[in-house]
Amino acid sequence: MLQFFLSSWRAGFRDRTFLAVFALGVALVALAYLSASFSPRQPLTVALDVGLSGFRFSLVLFAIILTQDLVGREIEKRSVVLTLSYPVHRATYLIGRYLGVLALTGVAALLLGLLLWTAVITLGVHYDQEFRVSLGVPYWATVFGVWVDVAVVAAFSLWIATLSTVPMLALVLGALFAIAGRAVGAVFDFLEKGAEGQTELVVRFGPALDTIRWVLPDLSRLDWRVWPMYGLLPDMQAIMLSLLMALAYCLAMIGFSVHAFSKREFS
Amino acid sequence: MTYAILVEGIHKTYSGGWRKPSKVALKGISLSIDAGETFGFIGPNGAGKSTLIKILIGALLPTAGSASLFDCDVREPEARRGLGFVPENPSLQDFLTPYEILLMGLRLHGLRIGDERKHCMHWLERFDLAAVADSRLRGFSKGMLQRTALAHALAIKPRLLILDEPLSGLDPVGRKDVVDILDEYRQQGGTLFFSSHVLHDVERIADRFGLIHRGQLLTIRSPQELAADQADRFVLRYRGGAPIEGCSEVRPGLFTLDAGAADLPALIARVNSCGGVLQDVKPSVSLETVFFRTISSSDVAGR
Repeated sequence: MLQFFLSSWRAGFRDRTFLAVFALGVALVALAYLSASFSPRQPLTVALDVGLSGFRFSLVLFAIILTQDLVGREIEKRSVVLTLSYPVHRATYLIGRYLGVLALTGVAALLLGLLLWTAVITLGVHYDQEFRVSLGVPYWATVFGVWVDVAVVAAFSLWIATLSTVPMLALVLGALFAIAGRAVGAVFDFLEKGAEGQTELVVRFGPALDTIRWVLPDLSRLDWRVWPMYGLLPDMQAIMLSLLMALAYCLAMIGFSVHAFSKREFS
Repeated sequence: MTYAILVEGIHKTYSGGWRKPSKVALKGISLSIDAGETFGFIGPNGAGKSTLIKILIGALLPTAGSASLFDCDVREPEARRGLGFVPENPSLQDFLTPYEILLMGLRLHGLRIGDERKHCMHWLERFDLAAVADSRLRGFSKGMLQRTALAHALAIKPRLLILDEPLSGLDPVGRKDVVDILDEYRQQGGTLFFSSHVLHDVERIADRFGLIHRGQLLTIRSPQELAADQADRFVLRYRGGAPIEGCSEVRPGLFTLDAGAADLPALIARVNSCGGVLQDVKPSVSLETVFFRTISSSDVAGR
Protein backbone atom coordinates (compact mmCIF):
# COMPACT_ATOMS: atom_id res chain seq x y z
CA MET A 1 0.00 0.00 0.00
CA LEU A 2 2.88 2.30 0.87
CA GLN A 3 4.29 1.98 -2.64
CA PHE A 4 1.02 3.03 -4.26
CA PHE A 5 0.70 5.87 -1.77
CA LEU A 6 4.23 7.04 -2.61
CA SER A 7 3.69 6.88 -6.35
CA SER A 8 0.47 8.92 -5.94
CA TRP A 9 2.41 11.42 -3.89
CA ARG A 10 5.05 11.74 -6.62
CA ALA A 11 2.35 12.10 -9.29
CA GLY A 12 0.76 14.94 -7.33
CA PHE A 13 3.91 16.99 -7.28
CA ARG A 14 4.98 16.25 -10.84
CA ASP A 15 1.86 16.56 -12.95
CA ARG A 16 1.28 19.95 -14.51
CA THR A 17 -2.50 19.62 -14.24
CA PHE A 18 -2.23 19.47 -10.50
CA LEU A 19 0.05 22.49 -10.45
CA ALA A 20 -2.45 24.32 -12.66
CA VAL A 21 -5.27 23.58 -10.22
CA PHE A 22 -3.11 24.71 -7.36
CA ALA A 23 -2.36 27.91 -9.28
CA LEU A 24 -6.13 28.35 -9.67
CA GLY A 25 -6.46 28.07 -5.88
CA VAL A 26 -3.82 30.75 -5.44
CA ALA A 27 -5.67 32.95 -7.95
CA LEU A 28 -8.93 32.47 -6.07
CA VAL A 29 -7.26 33.52 -2.82
CA ALA A 30 -5.97 36.59 -4.63
CA LEU A 31 -9.55 37.21 -5.79
CA ALA A 32 -10.71 36.92 -2.19
CA TYR A 33 -8.13 39.53 -1.24
CA LEU A 34 -9.46 41.89 -3.90
CA SER A 35 -13.10 41.16 -3.00
CA ALA A 36 -12.51 42.75 0.40
CA SER A 37 -12.84 46.14 -1.23
CA PHE A 38 -16.54 45.44 -1.93
CA SER A 39 -17.30 45.86 1.77
CA PRO A 40 -15.89 48.99 3.35
CA ARG A 41 -17.12 47.95 6.83
CA GLN A 42 -16.39 44.22 6.91
CA PRO A 43 -13.65 43.57 4.35
CA LEU A 44 -12.09 40.70 6.33
CA THR A 45 -15.37 38.79 6.62
CA VAL A 46 -16.06 39.16 2.89
CA ALA A 47 -12.51 38.13 1.97
CA LEU A 48 -12.77 35.10 4.23
CA ASP A 49 -16.15 34.10 2.83
CA VAL A 50 -15.08 34.42 -0.80
CA GLY A 51 -11.72 32.84 0.00
CA LEU A 52 -13.24 29.78 1.65
CA SER A 53 -15.57 29.27 -1.31
CA GLY A 54 -12.66 29.46 -3.75
CA PHE A 55 -10.65 27.24 -1.44
CA ARG A 56 -13.30 24.51 -1.50
CA PHE A 57 -13.80 24.85 -5.26
CA SER A 58 -10.11 24.39 -6.07
CA LEU A 59 -9.64 21.62 -3.51
CA VAL A 60 -12.61 19.63 -4.88
CA LEU A 61 -11.29 20.09 -8.41
CA PHE A 62 -7.84 19.00 -7.26
CA ALA A 63 -9.22 15.84 -5.60
CA ILE A 64 -11.35 14.70 -8.53
CA ILE A 65 -8.62 15.39 -11.09
CA LEU A 66 -6.16 13.44 -8.93
CA THR A 67 -8.56 10.52 -8.59
CA GLN A 68 -9.32 10.50 -12.29
CA ASP A 69 -5.63 10.69 -13.14
CA LEU A 70 -4.36 8.15 -10.63
CA VAL A 71 -7.09 5.55 -11.06
CA GLY A 72 -9.38 6.38 -14.02
CA ARG A 73 -6.60 7.18 -16.46
CA GLU A 74 -4.52 4.18 -15.37
CA ILE A 75 -7.45 1.90 -16.07
CA GLU A 76 -8.09 3.61 -19.39
CA LYS A 77 -4.42 3.45 -20.45
CA ARG A 78 -4.12 -0.13 -19.17
CA SER A 79 -1.06 0.74 -17.09
CA VAL A 80 -3.05 -0.85 -14.28
CA VAL A 81 -2.42 -4.27 -15.90
CA LEU A 82 1.22 -4.18 -14.78
CA THR A 83 0.06 -3.20 -11.29
CA LEU A 84 -2.25 -6.23 -11.19
CA SER A 85 0.75 -8.50 -11.78
CA TYR A 86 2.16 -7.65 -8.35
CA PRO A 87 1.59 -10.13 -5.52
CA VAL A 88 -0.82 -7.82 -3.69
CA HIS A 89 -4.60 -7.61 -3.40
CA ARG A 90 -6.28 -5.17 -5.72
CA ALA A 91 -7.69 -3.37 -2.68
CA THR A 92 -4.12 -2.45 -1.68
CA TYR A 93 -3.71 -0.48 -4.88
CA LEU A 94 -7.01 1.37 -4.50
CA ILE A 95 -6.57 2.23 -0.84
CA GLY A 96 -2.97 3.32 -1.45
CA ARG A 97 -4.16 5.61 -4.21
CA TYR A 98 -6.99 7.02 -2.08
CA LEU A 99 -4.65 7.72 0.82
CA GLY A 100 -2.31 9.42 -1.65
CA VAL A 101 -5.17 11.66 -2.80
CA LEU A 102 -6.05 12.46 0.82
CA ALA A 103 -2.44 13.33 1.66
CA LEU A 104 -2.03 15.53 -1.42
CA THR A 105 -5.31 17.37 -0.82
CA GLY A 106 -4.27 17.71 2.81
CA VAL A 107 -1.03 19.43 1.80
CA ALA A 108 -2.92 21.60 -0.70
CA ALA A 109 -5.45 22.50 2.03
CA LEU A 110 -2.65 23.52 4.39
CA LEU A 111 -0.87 25.62 1.77
CA LEU A 112 -3.98 27.32 0.39
CA GLY A 113 -5.33 27.73 3.94
CA LEU A 114 -2.10 29.39 4.96
CA LEU A 115 -2.24 31.65 1.93
CA LEU A 116 -5.82 32.71 2.65
CA TRP A 117 -4.97 33.19 6.30
CA THR A 118 -2.05 35.46 5.30
CA ALA A 119 -4.28 37.39 2.88
CA VAL A 120 -6.91 38.04 5.57
CA ILE A 121 -4.29 38.95 8.18
CA THR A 122 -2.71 41.38 5.69
CA LEU A 123 -6.09 43.03 5.08
CA GLY A 124 -6.46 43.47 8.84
CA VAL A 125 -3.24 45.50 9.00
CA HIS A 126 -4.83 48.28 6.94
CA TYR A 127 -8.25 48.27 8.60
CA ASP A 128 -9.39 46.99 11.96
CA GLN A 129 -13.05 46.06 11.41
CA GLU A 130 -15.44 46.29 14.31
CA PHE A 131 -16.43 42.62 14.38
CA ARG A 132 -13.21 40.67 14.17
CA VAL A 133 -12.85 37.36 12.33
CA SER A 134 -11.35 34.43 14.26
CA LEU A 135 -8.28 33.15 12.47
CA GLY A 136 -7.14 30.70 15.11
CA VAL A 137 -8.79 27.37 15.90
CA PRO A 138 -12.14 28.34 14.29
CA TYR A 139 -10.42 29.10 10.98
CA TRP A 140 -8.32 25.92 10.91
CA ALA A 141 -11.30 23.83 12.01
CA THR A 142 -13.16 25.20 8.99
CA VAL A 143 -10.22 24.31 6.72
CA PHE A 144 -10.32 20.80 8.20
CA GLY A 145 -14.08 20.60 7.51
CA VAL A 146 -13.48 21.47 3.85
CA TRP A 147 -10.79 18.78 3.65
CA VAL A 148 -13.21 16.19 5.07
CA ASP A 149 -15.82 17.33 2.53
CA VAL A 150 -13.21 16.84 -0.23
CA ALA A 151 -12.34 13.37 1.15
CA VAL A 152 -15.99 12.34 0.69
CA VAL A 153 -16.03 13.68 -2.89
CA ALA A 154 -12.75 11.86 -3.62
CA ALA A 155 -14.17 8.58 -2.26
CA PHE A 156 -17.21 8.94 -4.53
CA SER A 157 -14.97 9.74 -7.54
CA LEU A 158 -12.85 6.70 -6.73
CA TRP A 159 -15.91 4.47 -6.86
CA ILE A 160 -16.97 5.91 -10.21
CA ALA A 161 -13.43 5.55 -11.59
CA THR A 162 -13.39 1.84 -10.73
CA LEU A 163 -16.75 1.29 -12.45
CA SER A 164 -16.46 3.57 -15.41
CA THR A 165 -15.51 2.51 -18.89
CA VAL A 166 -15.91 6.06 -20.14
CA PRO A 167 -12.93 8.34 -19.64
CA MET A 168 -13.65 11.49 -17.62
CA LEU A 169 -16.86 10.09 -16.12
CA ALA A 170 -15.27 10.16 -12.66
CA LEU A 171 -14.41 13.80 -13.21
CA VAL A 172 -17.89 14.82 -14.36
CA LEU A 173 -19.87 12.78 -11.82
CA GLY A 174 -17.46 13.74 -9.04
CA ALA A 175 -18.07 17.42 -9.78
CA LEU A 176 -21.85 16.89 -9.93
CA PHE A 177 -21.73 14.99 -6.64
CA ALA A 178 -19.77 17.81 -5.00
CA ILE A 179 -22.35 20.36 -6.16
CA ALA A 180 -25.36 18.21 -5.24
CA GLY A 181 -23.89 17.30 -1.84
CA ARG A 182 -23.52 20.97 -0.99
CA ALA A 183 -26.91 22.03 -2.37
CA VAL A 184 -28.97 19.28 -0.82
CA GLY A 185 -28.69 20.70 2.71
CA ALA A 186 -30.07 24.07 1.67
CA VAL A 187 -32.95 22.35 -0.15
CA PHE A 188 -33.79 20.25 2.93
CA ASP A 189 -33.77 23.34 5.13
CA PHE A 190 -35.95 25.24 2.69
CA LEU A 191 -38.56 22.47 2.48
CA GLU A 192 -38.47 21.66 6.19
CA LYS A 193 -39.18 25.28 6.98
CA GLY A 194 -42.32 25.13 4.82
CA ALA A 195 -40.84 26.41 1.54
CA GLU A 196 -42.09 29.92 2.34
CA GLY A 197 -45.67 28.73 2.18
CA GLN A 198 -45.35 26.87 -1.14
CA THR A 199 -46.97 23.67 0.14
CA GLU A 200 -47.15 22.27 -3.37
CA LEU A 201 -43.34 22.14 -3.48
CA VAL A 202 -43.20 20.33 -0.14
CA VAL A 203 -45.75 17.74 -1.28
CA ARG A 204 -44.09 17.28 -4.66
CA PHE A 205 -40.44 17.00 -3.68
CA GLY A 206 -40.63 15.98 -0.02
CA PRO A 207 -40.85 12.18 -0.56
CA ALA A 208 -38.06 12.19 -3.17
CA LEU A 209 -35.81 14.20 -0.88
CA ASP A 210 -36.52 11.82 1.99
CA THR A 211 -35.05 9.07 -0.18
CA ILE A 212 -32.13 11.19 -1.40
CA ARG A 213 -31.29 11.97 2.22
CA TRP A 214 -30.17 8.35 2.57
CA VAL A 215 -28.13 8.28 -0.60
CA LEU A 216 -26.50 11.68 -0.87
CA PRO A 217 -24.52 13.03 2.07
CA ASP A 218 -25.28 16.57 3.19
CA LEU A 219 -21.83 18.09 2.68
CA SER A 220 -23.02 21.53 3.78
CA ARG A 221 -22.90 20.17 7.35
CA LEU A 222 -19.12 20.18 7.02
CA ASP A 223 -19.03 23.90 6.29
CA TRP A 224 -18.33 25.65 9.58
CA ARG A 225 -17.34 29.04 8.20
CA VAL A 226 -19.79 30.93 10.43
CA TRP A 227 -17.44 30.12 13.29
CA PRO A 228 -14.39 32.11 12.06
CA MET A 229 -16.54 34.71 10.26
CA TYR A 230 -19.08 35.56 12.95
CA GLY A 231 -17.86 33.69 16.03
CA LEU A 232 -20.93 31.42 15.96
CA LEU A 233 -19.67 28.14 17.39
CA PRO A 234 -21.50 25.28 15.67
CA ASP A 235 -23.18 22.68 17.83
CA MET A 236 -20.47 20.16 18.79
CA GLN A 237 -22.87 17.25 18.48
CA ALA A 238 -23.74 18.38 14.95
CA ILE A 239 -20.04 18.58 14.10
CA MET A 240 -19.39 15.10 15.43
CA LEU A 241 -22.39 13.71 13.57
CA SER A 242 -21.32 15.33 10.33
CA LEU A 243 -17.80 13.88 10.73
CA LEU A 244 -19.30 10.50 11.47
CA MET A 245 -21.50 10.78 8.38
CA ALA A 246 -18.45 11.66 6.26
CA LEU A 247 -16.44 8.77 7.65
CA ALA A 248 -19.26 6.30 7.09
CA TYR A 249 -19.79 7.56 3.56
CA CYS A 250 -16.06 7.35 2.75
CA LEU A 251 -15.87 3.80 4.10
CA ALA A 252 -18.95 2.77 2.13
CA MET A 253 -17.57 4.29 -1.08
CA ILE A 254 -14.18 2.63 -0.58
CA GLY A 255 -15.96 -0.67 0.05
CA PHE A 256 -17.96 -0.29 -3.18
CA SER A 257 -14.76 0.69 -5.04
CA VAL A 258 -12.84 -2.34 -3.79
CA HIS A 259 -15.74 -4.62 -4.67
CA ALA A 260 -16.10 -3.18 -8.19
CA PHE A 261 -12.35 -3.18 -8.82
CA SER A 262 -11.90 -6.74 -7.56
CA LYS A 263 -14.59 -7.98 -9.93
CA ARG A 264 -13.43 -5.96 -12.89
CA GLU A 265 -11.65 -7.60 -15.80
CA PHE A 266 -8.93 -5.88 -17.78
CA SER A 267 -8.83 -7.22 -21.31
CA MET B 1 4.59 -32.61 -9.56
CA THR B 2 4.91 -28.84 -9.36
CA TYR B 3 4.57 -27.05 -12.65
CA ALA B 4 5.60 -23.45 -13.14
CA ILE B 5 2.42 -22.98 -15.15
CA LEU B 6 -0.51 -25.36 -15.22
CA VAL B 7 -3.54 -24.53 -17.32
CA GLU B 8 -6.46 -26.95 -17.37
CA GLY B 9 -9.40 -26.62 -19.71
CA ILE B 10 -9.45 -22.84 -19.78
CA HIS B 11 -12.37 -21.26 -21.58
CA LYS B 12 -12.86 -17.56 -21.88
CA THR B 13 -15.83 -15.76 -23.35
CA TYR B 14 -16.03 -12.00 -23.38
CA SER B 15 -19.60 -11.11 -22.63
CA GLY B 16 -21.28 -8.93 -25.18
CA GLY B 17 -23.04 -5.67 -24.65
CA TRP B 18 -25.75 -3.72 -26.31
CA ARG B 19 -25.59 -4.58 -30.05
CA LYS B 20 -22.31 -6.35 -29.42
CA PRO B 21 -22.22 -10.15 -29.49
CA SER B 22 -20.23 -12.10 -26.96
CA LYS B 23 -16.86 -13.36 -28.17
CA VAL B 24 -15.25 -16.70 -27.44
CA ALA B 25 -11.53 -16.06 -26.95
CA LEU B 26 -10.29 -19.40 -25.57
CA LYS B 27 -11.75 -22.85 -26.12
CA GLY B 28 -10.48 -25.36 -23.61
CA ILE B 29 -6.77 -24.61 -23.47
CA SER B 30 -4.67 -27.02 -21.43
CA LEU B 31 -0.92 -26.96 -21.05
CA SER B 32 1.77 -27.47 -18.46
CA ILE B 33 5.17 -25.86 -18.29
CA ASP B 34 7.94 -27.16 -16.09
CA ALA B 35 10.13 -25.01 -13.92
CA GLY B 36 13.20 -23.98 -15.90
CA GLU B 37 11.48 -24.40 -19.25
CA THR B 38 11.19 -21.77 -21.97
CA PHE B 39 7.87 -21.85 -23.73
CA GLY B 40 7.08 -19.76 -26.80
CA PHE B 41 3.47 -19.00 -27.51
CA ILE B 42 2.71 -18.18 -31.11
CA GLY B 43 -0.39 -17.43 -33.10
CA PRO B 44 -1.91 -14.78 -35.34
CA ASN B 45 -3.43 -11.57 -33.99
CA GLY B 46 -6.62 -12.21 -32.04
CA ALA B 47 -5.78 -15.90 -31.54
CA GLY B 48 -6.06 -15.65 -27.75
CA LYS B 49 -2.42 -15.33 -26.68
CA SER B 50 -2.86 -12.14 -24.66
CA THR B 51 -6.12 -13.41 -23.15
CA LEU B 52 -4.36 -16.47 -21.72
CA ILE B 53 -1.49 -14.32 -20.46
CA LYS B 54 -3.94 -11.96 -18.74
CA ILE B 55 -5.64 -14.91 -17.08
CA LEU B 56 -2.25 -16.07 -15.82
CA ILE B 57 -1.45 -12.70 -14.25
CA GLY B 58 -4.93 -12.37 -12.74
CA ALA B 59 -6.17 -9.48 -14.88
CA LEU B 60 -8.91 -11.66 -16.38
CA LEU B 61 -10.97 -14.45 -14.90
CA PRO B 62 -11.53 -17.63 -16.92
CA THR B 63 -15.12 -18.49 -17.82
CA ALA B 64 -14.29 -22.13 -17.05
CA GLY B 65 -11.21 -24.14 -16.18
CA SER B 66 -8.35 -23.37 -13.87
CA ALA B 67 -4.83 -22.03 -13.97
CA SER B 68 -2.07 -22.03 -11.42
CA LEU B 69 1.48 -20.78 -11.06
CA PHE B 70 3.74 -23.00 -8.95
CA ASP B 71 0.67 -24.78 -7.57
CA CYS B 72 -1.01 -21.58 -6.47
CA ASP B 73 -4.30 -20.57 -8.11
CA VAL B 74 -3.82 -17.48 -10.28
CA ARG B 75 -6.70 -15.78 -8.49
CA GLU B 76 -4.54 -15.63 -5.36
CA PRO B 77 -2.10 -12.68 -5.18
CA GLU B 78 0.56 -14.99 -3.75
CA ALA B 79 0.69 -16.83 -7.11
CA ARG B 80 2.30 -13.72 -8.55
CA ARG B 81 5.20 -13.58 -6.09
CA GLY B 82 8.37 -13.70 -8.14
CA LEU B 83 6.45 -13.22 -11.38
CA GLY B 84 8.09 -10.82 -13.80
CA PHE B 85 5.56 -9.59 -16.33
CA VAL B 86 5.82 -7.41 -19.41
CA PRO B 87 2.51 -6.56 -21.09
CA GLU B 88 2.13 -5.96 -24.78
CA ASN B 89 2.81 -2.27 -25.50
CA PRO B 90 3.66 -1.59 -21.88
CA SER B 91 1.96 1.49 -20.51
CA LEU B 92 3.79 2.46 -17.35
CA GLN B 93 3.07 5.14 -14.79
CA ASP B 94 4.57 7.94 -16.83
CA PHE B 95 5.07 10.31 -13.92
CA LEU B 96 7.65 7.94 -12.44
CA THR B 97 11.26 7.40 -13.50
CA PRO B 98 12.69 4.03 -14.62
CA TYR B 99 14.55 3.79 -11.31
CA GLU B 100 11.35 4.39 -9.33
CA ILE B 101 9.49 1.79 -11.41
CA LEU B 102 12.14 -0.82 -10.67
CA LEU B 103 12.30 0.12 -6.99
CA MET B 104 8.51 -0.17 -6.68
CA GLY B 105 8.69 -3.66 -8.24
CA LEU B 106 11.39 -4.78 -5.78
CA ARG B 107 9.43 -3.60 -2.78
CA LEU B 108 6.06 -4.94 -3.89
CA HIS B 109 7.62 -8.35 -4.46
CA GLY B 110 9.13 -8.15 -0.98
CA LEU B 111 12.71 -8.51 -2.18
CA ARG B 112 15.37 -7.71 0.40
CA ILE B 113 18.41 -6.30 -1.35
CA GLY B 114 21.18 -4.43 0.44
CA ASP B 115 21.85 -1.69 -2.08
CA GLU B 116 18.62 -1.24 -3.99
CA ARG B 117 19.94 1.62 -6.08
CA LYS B 118 22.93 -0.40 -7.24
CA HIS B 119 20.75 -3.39 -8.07
CA CYS B 120 18.27 -1.31 -10.08
CA MET B 121 21.04 0.56 -11.87
CA HIS B 122 22.62 -2.75 -12.84
CA TRP B 123 19.46 -3.76 -14.66
CA LEU B 124 18.93 -0.33 -16.16
CA GLU B 125 22.48 -0.46 -17.50
CA ARG B 126 21.84 -3.90 -18.99
CA PHE B 127 18.97 -2.39 -20.95
CA ASP B 128 20.90 0.75 -21.84
CA LEU B 129 18.73 2.99 -19.67
CA ALA B 130 21.25 4.14 -17.05
CA ALA B 131 21.52 7.60 -18.60
CA VAL B 132 17.77 8.18 -18.21
CA ALA B 133 17.33 6.34 -14.91
CA ASP B 134 16.07 9.46 -13.15
CA SER B 135 14.11 11.00 -16.03
CA ARG B 136 10.35 10.73 -16.08
CA LEU B 137 8.92 8.14 -18.44
CA ARG B 138 6.66 10.70 -20.10
CA GLY B 139 8.21 11.30 -23.49
CA PHE B 140 10.03 7.96 -23.68
CA SER B 141 9.84 6.13 -27.01
CA LYS B 142 8.00 2.82 -27.28
CA GLY B 143 11.30 0.95 -27.35
CA MET B 144 12.53 2.67 -24.19
CA LEU B 145 9.28 1.88 -22.38
CA GLN B 146 9.60 -1.72 -23.49
CA ARG B 147 13.14 -1.90 -22.16
CA THR B 148 12.08 -0.29 -18.87
CA ALA B 149 9.34 -2.89 -18.48
CA LEU B 150 11.82 -5.68 -19.23
CA ALA B 151 14.36 -4.29 -16.75
CA HIS B 152 11.56 -4.08 -14.16
CA ALA B 153 10.57 -7.70 -14.80
CA LEU B 154 14.13 -8.99 -14.48
CA ALA B 155 15.15 -6.81 -11.53
CA ILE B 156 12.75 -8.64 -9.21
CA LYS B 157 14.81 -11.83 -9.62
CA PRO B 158 11.81 -13.64 -11.10
CA ARG B 159 11.24 -17.34 -10.79
CA LEU B 160 8.86 -16.99 -13.73
CA LEU B 161 8.85 -14.47 -16.57
CA ILE B 162 5.67 -13.94 -18.57
CA LEU B 163 6.25 -11.68 -21.53
CA ASP B 164 3.61 -10.60 -24.00
CA GLU B 165 5.33 -9.70 -27.25
CA PRO B 166 8.56 -8.69 -25.50
CA LEU B 167 10.35 -7.80 -28.69
CA SER B 168 7.77 -5.55 -30.30
CA GLY B 169 8.85 -1.94 -30.53
CA LEU B 170 12.55 -2.77 -30.31
CA ASP B 171 15.07 -1.96 -32.98
CA PRO B 172 17.29 -4.81 -34.28
CA VAL B 173 20.09 -3.98 -31.83
CA GLY B 174 17.68 -3.78 -28.89
CA ARG B 175 16.03 -7.00 -30.00
CA LYS B 176 19.33 -8.85 -30.08
CA ASP B 177 20.28 -7.51 -26.64
CA VAL B 178 16.94 -8.62 -25.17
CA VAL B 179 17.15 -12.05 -26.76
CA ASP B 180 20.66 -12.44 -25.32
CA ILE B 181 19.47 -11.41 -21.83
CA LEU B 182 16.51 -13.79 -22.01
CA ASP B 183 18.82 -16.55 -23.17
CA GLU B 184 21.04 -15.85 -20.18
CA TYR B 185 18.03 -15.94 -17.84
CA ARG B 186 17.01 -19.27 -19.38
CA GLN B 187 20.46 -20.72 -18.95
CA GLN B 188 20.42 -19.73 -15.28
CA GLY B 189 17.35 -21.90 -14.80
CA GLY B 190 14.58 -19.32 -14.99
CA THR B 191 11.17 -20.24 -16.40
CA LEU B 192 10.08 -18.20 -19.38
CA PHE B 193 6.68 -18.03 -21.02
CA PHE B 194 6.43 -15.59 -23.87
CA SER B 195 4.35 -14.79 -26.88
CA SER B 196 5.85 -13.41 -30.03
CA HIS B 197 5.18 -12.77 -33.66
CA VAL B 198 8.88 -13.01 -34.41
CA LEU B 199 9.05 -16.72 -35.15
CA HIS B 200 12.80 -16.72 -35.62
CA ASP B 201 13.27 -15.58 -32.02
CA VAL B 202 10.80 -18.16 -30.71
CA GLU B 203 12.72 -20.81 -32.59
CA ARG B 204 15.98 -19.58 -31.13
CA ILE B 205 14.99 -19.34 -27.46
CA ALA B 206 12.09 -21.71 -26.83
CA ASP B 207 12.45 -25.28 -25.56
CA ARG B 208 8.89 -25.84 -26.74
CA PHE B 209 6.34 -23.73 -28.49
CA GLY B 210 2.58 -23.79 -28.59
CA LEU B 211 0.56 -22.64 -31.55
CA ILE B 212 -2.80 -21.10 -30.78
CA HIS B 213 -5.39 -20.19 -33.39
CA ARG B 214 -8.95 -18.99 -32.86
CA GLY B 215 -8.76 -19.83 -29.17
CA GLN B 216 -7.56 -23.38 -29.63
CA LEU B 217 -4.13 -24.77 -28.92
CA LEU B 218 -3.35 -26.56 -32.18
CA THR B 219 0.03 -28.01 -31.37
CA ILE B 220 2.82 -28.07 -28.81
CA ARG B 221 6.18 -29.03 -30.19
CA SER B 222 9.88 -28.69 -29.56
CA PRO B 223 12.32 -27.52 -32.25
CA GLN B 224 13.82 -31.02 -32.21
CA GLU B 225 10.42 -32.60 -32.95
CA LEU B 226 9.94 -30.06 -35.67
CA ALA B 227 13.22 -30.99 -37.34
CA ALA B 228 12.51 -34.70 -37.05
CA ASP B 229 9.02 -34.25 -38.52
CA GLN B 230 10.22 -32.65 -41.69
CA ALA B 231 13.78 -33.80 -42.17
CA ASP B 232 13.16 -34.75 -45.79
CA ARG B 233 11.53 -31.53 -46.92
CA PHE B 234 13.42 -28.72 -48.65
CA VAL B 235 12.75 -25.30 -50.13
CA LEU B 236 14.49 -24.59 -53.42
CA ARG B 237 14.89 -21.06 -54.82
CA TYR B 238 16.03 -20.05 -58.29
CA ARG B 239 16.38 -16.84 -60.29
CA GLY B 240 15.54 -16.08 -63.92
CA GLY B 241 14.33 -18.60 -66.46
CA ALA B 242 10.74 -19.71 -66.77
CA PRO B 243 8.41 -20.77 -64.01
CA ILE B 244 8.22 -24.54 -63.64
CA GLU B 245 5.29 -26.57 -62.39
CA GLY B 246 4.52 -26.18 -58.69
CA CYS B 247 6.66 -23.10 -58.14
CA SER B 248 5.59 -19.73 -56.85
CA GLU B 249 7.10 -16.38 -57.77
CA VAL B 250 8.02 -14.65 -54.51
CA ARG B 251 9.53 -11.60 -56.24
CA PRO B 252 9.80 -10.78 -59.95
CA GLY B 253 12.22 -13.32 -61.35
CA LEU B 254 12.66 -15.22 -58.07
CA PHE B 255 10.88 -18.55 -57.76
CA THR B 256 10.50 -20.97 -54.89
CA LEU B 257 9.60 -24.65 -54.77
CA ASP B 258 8.82 -26.99 -51.91
CA ALA B 259 10.09 -30.49 -52.53
CA GLY B 260 11.01 -33.81 -50.95
CA ALA B 261 14.65 -34.95 -50.78
CA ALA B 262 14.10 -37.61 -53.46
CA ASP B 263 12.80 -35.05 -55.96
CA LEU B 264 15.66 -32.58 -55.60
CA PRO B 265 18.06 -33.82 -58.35
CA ALA B 266 15.27 -33.85 -60.94
CA LEU B 267 14.09 -30.40 -59.90
CA ILE B 268 17.57 -28.92 -60.10
CA ALA B 269 17.93 -30.37 -63.59
CA ARG B 270 14.59 -28.76 -64.62
CA VAL B 271 15.74 -25.39 -63.23
CA ASN B 272 18.91 -25.61 -65.32
CA SER B 273 17.03 -26.65 -68.44
CA CYS B 274 14.58 -23.75 -68.19
CA GLY B 275 17.48 -21.27 -67.97
CA GLY B 276 17.15 -20.55 -64.27
CA VAL B 277 20.04 -20.05 -61.84
CA LEU B 278 19.81 -22.02 -58.61
CA GLN B 279 19.93 -19.62 -55.64
CA ASP B 280 19.76 -21.93 -52.64
CA VAL B 281 18.26 -25.11 -51.22
CA LYS B 282 17.25 -25.00 -47.56
CA PRO B 283 15.54 -27.49 -45.29
CA SER B 284 11.93 -26.50 -44.78
CA VAL B 285 12.05 -27.06 -41.04
CA SER B 286 11.28 -23.52 -39.99
CA LEU B 287 8.74 -22.63 -37.41
CA GLU B 288 7.23 -20.30 -39.95
CA THR B 289 6.38 -23.20 -42.23
CA VAL B 290 4.72 -25.08 -39.41
CA PHE B 291 2.90 -21.95 -38.37
CA PHE B 292 1.31 -21.40 -41.76
CA ARG B 293 0.66 -25.06 -42.49
CA THR B 294 -0.98 -25.75 -39.16
CA ILE B 295 -3.11 -22.65 -39.36
CA SER B 296 -4.24 -23.31 -42.91
CA SER B 297 -5.03 -26.97 -42.16
CA SER B 298 -6.99 -25.83 -39.09
CA ASP B 299 -8.92 -23.37 -41.25
CA VAL B 300 -9.71 -26.08 -43.79
CA ALA B 301 -10.86 -28.45 -41.04
CA GLY B 302 -12.99 -25.73 -39.52
CA ARG B 303 -14.95 -25.08 -42.71
